[in-house]
Amino acid sequence: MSVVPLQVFVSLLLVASSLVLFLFTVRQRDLDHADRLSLAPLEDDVAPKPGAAEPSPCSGSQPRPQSGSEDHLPRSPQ
Amino acid sequence: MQTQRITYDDTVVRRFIIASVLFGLVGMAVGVLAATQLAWWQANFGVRFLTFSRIRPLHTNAVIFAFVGNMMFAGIYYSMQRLLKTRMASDVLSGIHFWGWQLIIVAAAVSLPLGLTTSKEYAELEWPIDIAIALIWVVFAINFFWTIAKRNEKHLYVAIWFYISTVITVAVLHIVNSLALPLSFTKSYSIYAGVQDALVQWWYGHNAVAFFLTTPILGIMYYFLPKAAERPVYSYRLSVVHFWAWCSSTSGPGRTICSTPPCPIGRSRWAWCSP
Repeated sequence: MSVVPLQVFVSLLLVASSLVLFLFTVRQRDLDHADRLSLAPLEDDVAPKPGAAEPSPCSGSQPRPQSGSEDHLPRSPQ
Repeated sequence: MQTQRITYDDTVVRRFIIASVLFGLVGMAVGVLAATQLAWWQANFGVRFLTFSRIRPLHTNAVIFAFVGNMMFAGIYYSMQRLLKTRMASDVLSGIHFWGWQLIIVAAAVSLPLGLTTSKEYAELEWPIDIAIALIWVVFAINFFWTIAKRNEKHLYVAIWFYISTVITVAVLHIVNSLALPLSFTKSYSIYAGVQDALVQWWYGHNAVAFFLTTPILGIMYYFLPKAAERPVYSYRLSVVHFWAWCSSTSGPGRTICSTPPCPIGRSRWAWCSP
């Protein structure tokens, strides 16, 4: 089997995929939000405290999770 | 104002970390044995399962796909949930991904010492395991893109872009390079022949290093380095340039490594000007 047509096809497929993704990020205006995005890793999630009696005031009335960290996201009223 | 509580799935992260440490210890111990045999061949103890030709691929596969692979999945699962502000889309798919990947590693750890190999470096596993890798990778991809689709953060941090390129490229590399004609359940031959096989193999080999061992780690670095330093990256725009430059300059046909097999387009034309 000749590999050249296959490699050309696969390469063009990858180029096309990257173009689609690049256009997606341009249309989303991701770079307009660069300053805010750069802070994203610094946002700490709130780890649940084992044995804590009261849930956090902003956590609503849902049961405390058994495992994993949690985060709180502002939700607009329905 | 109402708030929405998000509980991240850290169970799968912990599992991948534990597996990474365990397989890292095993893989490096096998590496020490292989290195010992380079100086003192009697270290194979006369056991054919322990000969250099069998444990060297076991060492490389264990360290690349079990040690780094599990660590990489842990980093992706941990950071993407926090960057997208959502839990992984499916705990079931996360579980299938974890246990499926570990089964693949065990299958490799059994088949390579038995001498079952395609003899393609870093792609030694025989066709049933190759199919399993493709299926498990698809499970991971579905969970990954589903999580992106249900995210609570509209804009994607640069680390997510590195992860996206990993998920897409590794799937293409693995499937194209592993195309083979099965002779039996434990033996197959590549559908490519001679130089063409060498070209595809090192297109895979080069980009496997780039997109399995490096790209996701860069994404993880872009998440954890600012966190550790408690300050954002110096220039976020430069990190975006880094991503697109990396993708466009790295994914060539393995030019550098093509200089080692009997491939006529290797050293003389491209090798010295390649990334």
